[in-house]
Amino acid sequence: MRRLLTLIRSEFQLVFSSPAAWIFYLALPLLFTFAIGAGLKGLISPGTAATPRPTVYVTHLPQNEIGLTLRNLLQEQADLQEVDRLPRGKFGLDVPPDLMERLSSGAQVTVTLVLDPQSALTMAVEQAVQVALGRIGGAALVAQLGQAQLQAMASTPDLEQAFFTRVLTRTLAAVEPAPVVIRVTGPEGGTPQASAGPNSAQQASAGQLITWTLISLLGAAEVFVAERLRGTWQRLLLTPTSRLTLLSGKLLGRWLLGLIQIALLMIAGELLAHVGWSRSPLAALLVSLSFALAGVSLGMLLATLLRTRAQASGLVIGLSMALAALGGAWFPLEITPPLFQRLALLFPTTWTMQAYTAILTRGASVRQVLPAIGALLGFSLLYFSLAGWSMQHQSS
Amino acid sequence: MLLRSLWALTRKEVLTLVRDPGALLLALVTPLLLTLIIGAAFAGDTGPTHIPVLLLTQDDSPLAEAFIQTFYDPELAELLAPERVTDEGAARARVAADEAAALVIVPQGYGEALFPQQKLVQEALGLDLYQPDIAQEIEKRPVEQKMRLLTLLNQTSPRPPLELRIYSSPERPVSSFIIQAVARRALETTQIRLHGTRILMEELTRTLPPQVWETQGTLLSERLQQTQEDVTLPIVLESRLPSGRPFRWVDYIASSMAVLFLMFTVTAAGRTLLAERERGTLTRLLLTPTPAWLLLAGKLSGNLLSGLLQMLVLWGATTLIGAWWGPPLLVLLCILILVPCATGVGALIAAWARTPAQAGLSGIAFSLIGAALAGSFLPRENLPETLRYLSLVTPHAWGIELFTALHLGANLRELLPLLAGTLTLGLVYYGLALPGFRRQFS
Repeated sequence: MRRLLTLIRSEFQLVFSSPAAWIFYLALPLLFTFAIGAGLKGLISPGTAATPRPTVYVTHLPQNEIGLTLRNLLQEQADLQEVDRLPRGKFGLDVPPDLMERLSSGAQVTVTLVLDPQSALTMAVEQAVQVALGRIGGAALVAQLGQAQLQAMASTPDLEQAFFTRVLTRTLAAVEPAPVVIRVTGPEGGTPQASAGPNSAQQASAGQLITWTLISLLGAAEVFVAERLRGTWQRLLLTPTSRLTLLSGKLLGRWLLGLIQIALLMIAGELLAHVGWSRSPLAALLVSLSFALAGVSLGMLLATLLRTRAQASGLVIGLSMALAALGGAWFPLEITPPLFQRLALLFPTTWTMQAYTAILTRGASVRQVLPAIGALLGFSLLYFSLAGWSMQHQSS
Repeated sequence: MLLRSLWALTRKEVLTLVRDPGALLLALVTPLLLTLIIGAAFAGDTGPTHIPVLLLTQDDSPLAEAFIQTFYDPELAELLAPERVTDEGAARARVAADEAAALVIVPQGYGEALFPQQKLVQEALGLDLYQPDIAQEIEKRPVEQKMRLLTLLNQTSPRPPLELRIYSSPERPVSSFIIQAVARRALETTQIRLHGTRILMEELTRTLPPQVWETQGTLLSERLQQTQEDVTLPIVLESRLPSGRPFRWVDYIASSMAVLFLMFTVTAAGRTLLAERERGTLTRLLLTPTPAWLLLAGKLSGNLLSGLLQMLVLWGATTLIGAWWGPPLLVLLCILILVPCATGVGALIAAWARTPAQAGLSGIAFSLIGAALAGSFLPRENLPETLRYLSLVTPHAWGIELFTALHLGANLRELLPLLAGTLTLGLVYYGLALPGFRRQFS
């Protein structure tokens, strides 16, 4: 036991021998969490109170009931600004200046919405504009029907125009206040966070935690390879300490390092952004323990396959990022094709992300995350078995 | 002679990179792999399909049934997978377990809330406004009853709004948003038709003489019946993108990952220079007739050429898998300006770091911090303004701005300020590195 503890302690000393380790293990993950969390707003919580408000620039906003309807409905999701010319690269609504006249003449009118393609708020803005134009179009359709009746009675154009305007205006005004409104709730009984789904901070906190911890856990590969190349591993094997103790010490050290990193990131996420890690602490702990085990076992498998430190270094970063992306740590898997979602279940990061999301959004209990824990333990067993087989194969 | 020496030194630096599998892994394989993954994740139309939605109605009016039927519209067949349920508790449990994206509950009184006049008319005149042949039924009635009908239709009684509840799974926010949008559109359409019909009939009776209204009333009712079916609205929304091209994640990620991993490569140059100094090989080189400035120039141009090759290879490879960087000549120009700026960071680190380990760590830290600030993983547009401005001290930010401008259809004139900014930043980096190199080589 003492030897085991010594090995674990030396692992920590090795990692934290440079102050730069604090940058990599804590500062950078937090920075990424903040930046990605800010950037994800609107993408994964569209149309909610958490969504930032874009500015939609409008040309020729009518100064009548149509304009009022457009303004009221768009302002539910965005800030409106009237301009003479639409700015490039921003949301812009180009309304024909003679909209009312063209509608009353029975013509079909095209309103152009210029999208900001890189904004995460495109969906919310497009939806708001569609609702507004749907309402105006529906009212115009009814008014056109009545206008057709008047035309059949050989009335005058002025009378028809006035009739059209009255019906359109009254219909648009009559819709508010709405007699039926939509209310969205969630399993927690309507708390804004639960009803809106995981907010961007939750996605970022869980996602970046997985990404950076995985880099640390897979870093076991680089350590093993370095020791093997330097010859220190062979020297350790010559000592009375058993191979099992040596391996366990190394792996446990890395495992504990990963757990400490997870704990620090969870605490930071909870204190700074109240993401919800404290909602189900036991479930979070068990998921983290099994995720860390899966990560360190994969690191061990990599160590048996890689030959040089450069290979290990390059592969660790690349594989961590790839697994994180595939597992939904960078973007919600909900928006990916069904095949992608099914294939993603082959990776431990997917199960971890699903479990963490369930904990953050609805305080999932241990029972509810048991499938994820089971899957992660299964991955650990698989990776350890493969690593053991690889080591035996190489020594024979 | 000088050129030959410079080329030899440059070539040696490039060969060192090309022969290092670990470096190649980081420089080429990883960004390509990430681009492939993102491209696969966002292939086709981005968004959920066959969203499982549970539908429960507590109201037996035709309006409630019409609302439910909206979710079965053939146009939504790819998007939604609706299922009618009767047990609210069981349905809520399924949503809570994330087996369905949402449960939509049409409350009792939905029909009456939307169309309160129906009850008034039924009680006063014995007319069921929902019946299919209502137009003919109204036609049979005497004028006084028709006028009474109109009066009743225009009676409104304000009451607190009824809630149509959507109980959504918190793990599917995008699906929930889509379901809300479908529900809202159905509700809007129904309200517009009901109010529009009522107001239209009132306006017509005011405008047309009674005898005309009597004969034309049926025709109008039949025409209004048509509004219940799908008709083309007179306003069409056309969504357009500035460049004419849709935004694709694979385009953004291909260029932003290329820039990020370029930074890993060029900042590693600092480590190799210091490693040579530590090993003593730099001192030996300085003893040769080759001037010190040429040695340094060789190192830096080797780094520059490595970066150029890396960017060109990534541009080509990602283009093969479907990413679009922009018009080729402009992309080439951006790469030619960006890479020297990026290598300026490598020069700065090489000039001021004391040990190879310090240089290596500084390079990785700078690359990653720059990635976080500049938007390497998410469109930069969505980052807070503070971060966007702060990140302009990094080549990442300028690189992403350049390629984003290309994606948005910028021409050479529009790119010039960005190119000038990138070039200036590079000069600043080299300017700051110069004193450090003087100190090292003196």
